[in-house]
Amino acid sequence: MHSARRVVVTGLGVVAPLGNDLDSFWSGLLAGRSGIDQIRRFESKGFVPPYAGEVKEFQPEQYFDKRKVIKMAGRHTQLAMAAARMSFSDARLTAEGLDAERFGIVFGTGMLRADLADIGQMARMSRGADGRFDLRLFGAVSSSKLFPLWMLRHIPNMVSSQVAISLNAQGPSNTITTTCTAGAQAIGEASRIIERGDADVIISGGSDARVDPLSLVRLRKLGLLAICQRDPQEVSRPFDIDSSGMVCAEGAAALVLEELEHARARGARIYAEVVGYGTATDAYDLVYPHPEGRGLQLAINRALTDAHLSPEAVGYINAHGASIPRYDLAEARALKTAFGKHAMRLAASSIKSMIGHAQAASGAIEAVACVKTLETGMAPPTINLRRMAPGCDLDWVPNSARQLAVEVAMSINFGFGGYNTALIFKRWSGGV
Amino acid sequence: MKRRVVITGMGAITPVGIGVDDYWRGLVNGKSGVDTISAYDASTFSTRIAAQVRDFRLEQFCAVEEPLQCADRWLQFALAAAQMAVDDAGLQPGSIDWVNCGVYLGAGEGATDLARFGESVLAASGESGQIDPRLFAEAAAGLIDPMDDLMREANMPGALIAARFGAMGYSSNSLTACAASGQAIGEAMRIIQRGDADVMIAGGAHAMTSPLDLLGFSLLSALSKRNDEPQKASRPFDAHRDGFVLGEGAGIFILEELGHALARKARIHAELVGYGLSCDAYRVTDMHPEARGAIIAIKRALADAELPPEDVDYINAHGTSTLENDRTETYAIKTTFGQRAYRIPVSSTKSMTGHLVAAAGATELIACILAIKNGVVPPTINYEFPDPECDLDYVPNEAREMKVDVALSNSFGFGGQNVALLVRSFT
Amino acid sequence: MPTREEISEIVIGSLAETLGIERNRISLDSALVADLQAESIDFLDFIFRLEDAFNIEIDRDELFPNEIARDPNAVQQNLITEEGVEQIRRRLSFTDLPSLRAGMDIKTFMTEMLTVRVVVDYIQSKLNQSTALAG
Repeated sequence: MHSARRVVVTGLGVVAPLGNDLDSFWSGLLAGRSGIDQIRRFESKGFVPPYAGEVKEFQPEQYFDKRKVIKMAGRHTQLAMAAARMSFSDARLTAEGLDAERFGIVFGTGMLRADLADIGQMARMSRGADGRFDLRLFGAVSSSKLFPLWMLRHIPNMVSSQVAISLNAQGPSNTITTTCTAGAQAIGEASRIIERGDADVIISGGSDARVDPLSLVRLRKLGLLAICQRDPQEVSRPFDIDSSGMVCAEGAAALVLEELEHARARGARIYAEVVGYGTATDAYDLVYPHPEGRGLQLAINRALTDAHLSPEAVGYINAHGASIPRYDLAEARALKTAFGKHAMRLAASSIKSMIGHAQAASGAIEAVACVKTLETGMAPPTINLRRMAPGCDLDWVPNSARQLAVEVAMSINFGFGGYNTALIFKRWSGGV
Repeated sequence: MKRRVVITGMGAITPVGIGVDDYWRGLVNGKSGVDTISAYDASTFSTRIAAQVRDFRLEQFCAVEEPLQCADRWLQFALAAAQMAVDDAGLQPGSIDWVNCGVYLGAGEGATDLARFGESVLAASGESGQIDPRLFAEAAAGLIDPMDDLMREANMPGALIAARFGAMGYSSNSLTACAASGQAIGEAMRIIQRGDADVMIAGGAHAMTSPLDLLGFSLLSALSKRNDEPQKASRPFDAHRDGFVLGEGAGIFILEELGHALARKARIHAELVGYGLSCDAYRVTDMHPEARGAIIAIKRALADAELPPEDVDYINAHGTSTLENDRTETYAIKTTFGQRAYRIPVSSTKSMTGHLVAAAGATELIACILAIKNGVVPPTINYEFPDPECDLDYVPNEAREMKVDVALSNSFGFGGQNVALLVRSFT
Repeated sequence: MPTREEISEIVIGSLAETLGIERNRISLDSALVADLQAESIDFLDFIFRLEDAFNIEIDRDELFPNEIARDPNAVQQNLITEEGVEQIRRRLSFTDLPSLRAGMDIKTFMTEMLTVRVVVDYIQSKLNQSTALAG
């Protein structure tokens, strides 16, 4: 980092298909458990695909001080609120101990503009005389029958906004909307805000809750979803020769980023330091990554330069590993190019093998896992890896978690539109 | 030594003019871009007016392949405005280090294809009133083009612009509602100041004028219902204002580090000198009654620019024409600027363009820069009945000649996000 | 036509759901803004529920004398004038406003005057009107 202000991670919170809190999430990952299962959100028998990575038994009420807010919070907001509040507690922050104007919220999220519950019901009542959808009828019906606060559930910045209101965060905030890399960028953007002196504490993360018929159809028709006759738990198989696509998932994660002296002054427990952030576009295609992962290479190099580190300093990578063959291959190539010979000595795992691809939340969930690896010296596995796909021949920590004491770990992430992100974390051994 | 950031290119697509010159002409002539909605049948909606961009054809601005010709409007606006800005800045392929040029936008998302969604729902609706999700998905699979759908994600304008110019630098997309493009410009400025780039493409695009957008804001009682007099509906600070009018468009800038701009003898429009950011953290839609967030954002921008409040010559207000915003913003300006507030012209160009939501910050910053360059401040039109709680000089109805050296642009987003940008003449 | 007690039950129930609070926290004298911290979006939700429950249309301006508040004859320097008192009583004739008097701060009035009782009075008068029209 360029300046004198250093950024550390002092709190973690996560709601994911493997568990609705940090401990169950992390122990699930280390045990190589899968959170992917038959979809229960809607009647999925006969639906293609019938499986996804769902957050199970989520109870939003405990995370909202004001119950009235829940009805206008979409599921992605509810998950984000849970993750944010858990990270706030985990960091042992208190409202009284914070300067509200120097406390901000930066979240990355995806968007769902119309769902079956609200707009769907209005559309159902808008059948014209010719049996077709009639906009005039829709306008008339919706003006009187649609829940007036409906749109608040879908506006992307309501995620950051609700969290900020709940925690009285009046400082610099942002909402990042770069699809699958939004959560990772949110963390990077937050670190920049603290580094430049505009805030001392930022809760940053990502949230996505699009396990719904329309979103699944879209991904399926783009040819990205794994459609196969397997046990759901074996479908997500990043870097494996038999991978046929990604598994859609939902979730949220939050990291409390804090300026180092601020953390020290209050005796905070420090997980790790954020030492590098790099981001780049492929400038190539809207759906697929550049075949050599050129944007990812740039992001990795920029992060390393930012951290004043050579590639050899990195001991572990929390990979993107979406389980989409073209993506996995581009990622492997990018790693080989960016890390040269060192690539063969790196350990890199994809937790999407266990929780699926939570899109805008994935970068944040994976950053949490990356920080936990540094803290505990344990790398989660890439499960379902029986035979590596050609070109994907790196050490992906296949099938079992591994003890791995590393000083520096990198989390990489990329998605639709060709946006790529690399975050570098360093193990905190400095004590408080 | 802080790196200085200047503006070397601008592009604008707005309801009062297409292209920067046309936009400026519209503003100084007090032209209203608001009219009855013609793009679809809005007759059963409680608000039936919007500020639409008319007579826009993408091919006039850039050569594009077929799929983009049918792309959602806001994508087309973004591309056209970006091309205008790049041309305005005199940038060619190979003329700058495009690999390190980033695209930081505050672009909104595309419109939902409501007709197809509706048809899919009807195909799945049984007698019982239930919608079968499986049937819905199958019908949707038949009707919805997945690329078309994916291309409605908010980062697609940025992705297309990056691909078009080979810009592989530090890029992102903010979607902080009405503050989005203002924020993007501020963040792009920070990226250059930090040394992560010498050139950035920044700004925003949004076309939040589709049926669902209209419906959503109507139900929140945010929109004017003056359907019989569309051109008079957007009336910021006027006592008879009753809500905002949705608009659409794009504003894109080329931001550049000063030394880099001078070295290539670029024409410099103005200098970006201050950026302030805050969050109300108060309520979901209501602004803090004492404008605490807005005041913090403006003060931070002034501190960032190392300028005292007395140096501000013109304020382009957020001025949405809602009862609450205009009153609260007036209070914020008075609190920050003290007695001098009464001598600073404050105008809201939303009176003419309507509310471009994510694109508002960018297009309004362009208005500020043109005010500086031309020595004219645009008016707040439809100002007829003074409101005792809004008693500043809003440049009522007619543009005014005056020297402007420093201008402030406010954007106070839905959900409490506040952005203030300060821009100064460059000589 | 529901009884006054039935109307009160439904109004309190709708308000409790809107605000996400227990019914027993709400009495007829509870002021929506001053006591229960209702904000604009709560009013949107509340009115939506009342319209649905009673099958009537509610115009917010009938409940909230907003443009009287901005009339310089009715309110001067934030205080309600005699003329203002007259206008408000005429507009809100369906209810008693015992605390309303000239010299009162308009903001205090707006936050305190809208009680559950006033809403019940309003609903009752609307229902009486439609019964009268129907009959």
